Amino acid sequence: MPKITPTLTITSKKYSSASDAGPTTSPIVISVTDSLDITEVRQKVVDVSDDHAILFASDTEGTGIISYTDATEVAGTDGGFIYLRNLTGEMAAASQVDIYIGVGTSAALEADATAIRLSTLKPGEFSFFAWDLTSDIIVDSNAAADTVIAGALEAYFFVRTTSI
Amino acid sequence: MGVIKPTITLTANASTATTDAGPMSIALSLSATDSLDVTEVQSKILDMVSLTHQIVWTHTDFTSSGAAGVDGAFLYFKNRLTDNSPVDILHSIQISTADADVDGGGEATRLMTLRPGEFAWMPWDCTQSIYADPLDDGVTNVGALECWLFVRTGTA
Repeated sequence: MPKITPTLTITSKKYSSASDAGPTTSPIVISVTDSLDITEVRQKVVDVSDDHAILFASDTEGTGIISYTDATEVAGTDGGFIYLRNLTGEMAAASQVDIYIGVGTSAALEADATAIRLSTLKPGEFSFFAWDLTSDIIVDSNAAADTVIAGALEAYFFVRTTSI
Repeated sequence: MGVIKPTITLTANASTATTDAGPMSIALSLSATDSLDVTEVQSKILDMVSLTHQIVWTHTDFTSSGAAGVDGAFLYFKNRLTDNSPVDILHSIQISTADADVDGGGEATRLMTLRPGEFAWMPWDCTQSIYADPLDDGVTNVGALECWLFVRTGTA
């Protein structure tokens, strides 16, 4: 089966460092890598606005050509890995926005304490996590009203399920 | 405030490679790095007890307002169990937002399953608590889940 290799490192200096001081008295070095079996890759760069939208649908993706699972998603079998990156960090300041990622029924994500808002990706930030296809992945942003930020979010979905 | 630097790379060989062939006809090489201001660090390693879900991070410990882009943290998880057999799936760890057993098919609150050796990195807005639940393999897996939390909120 095809493979991808993700590697993550998280580092920080000790807090007494003269530059980029870390949050702890000792430096932090976390490093991890893995080899993942993948059956399909989906990639898109999406625009964001002040309207929410479904980024990845749990039951269907794209135009419904491919049907994922249907309320029978088996833990550890069905699903995949999502990589997201807010690309607006490389844009002019006026185009830099926070991008909100939600999990559940599609709805606006910006309000305080919105339970379905899982993450906020500030400009340049990224995430990599497994997704079990049990709820939709939603995207929203703090873009000004009636403003579309083109090419704001890079999204990959690496499918590990064999049930599509 | 302190600075942490996460870096991720995602690589795959082309599908024609003779070893570790990738899922596409072209090789894949993604890389991203960032510099994040954090105010607090917490870390723990949890045992995973079959039939027992447990809370990992309580959102109200870090914010009462849940303001987008202000309150929150960055989470790192790793399933520390090792690949060792075709029944690895029995050692998977599920991360969810519900104080419940989420083993069943289609559990809507089960965000992800981490199989042995798998990891995750993501911001967390502290709008719901985070729970872990092992698949029900009938045993206690000591030291199974590594958890780090880097707080970015100023309200912690």
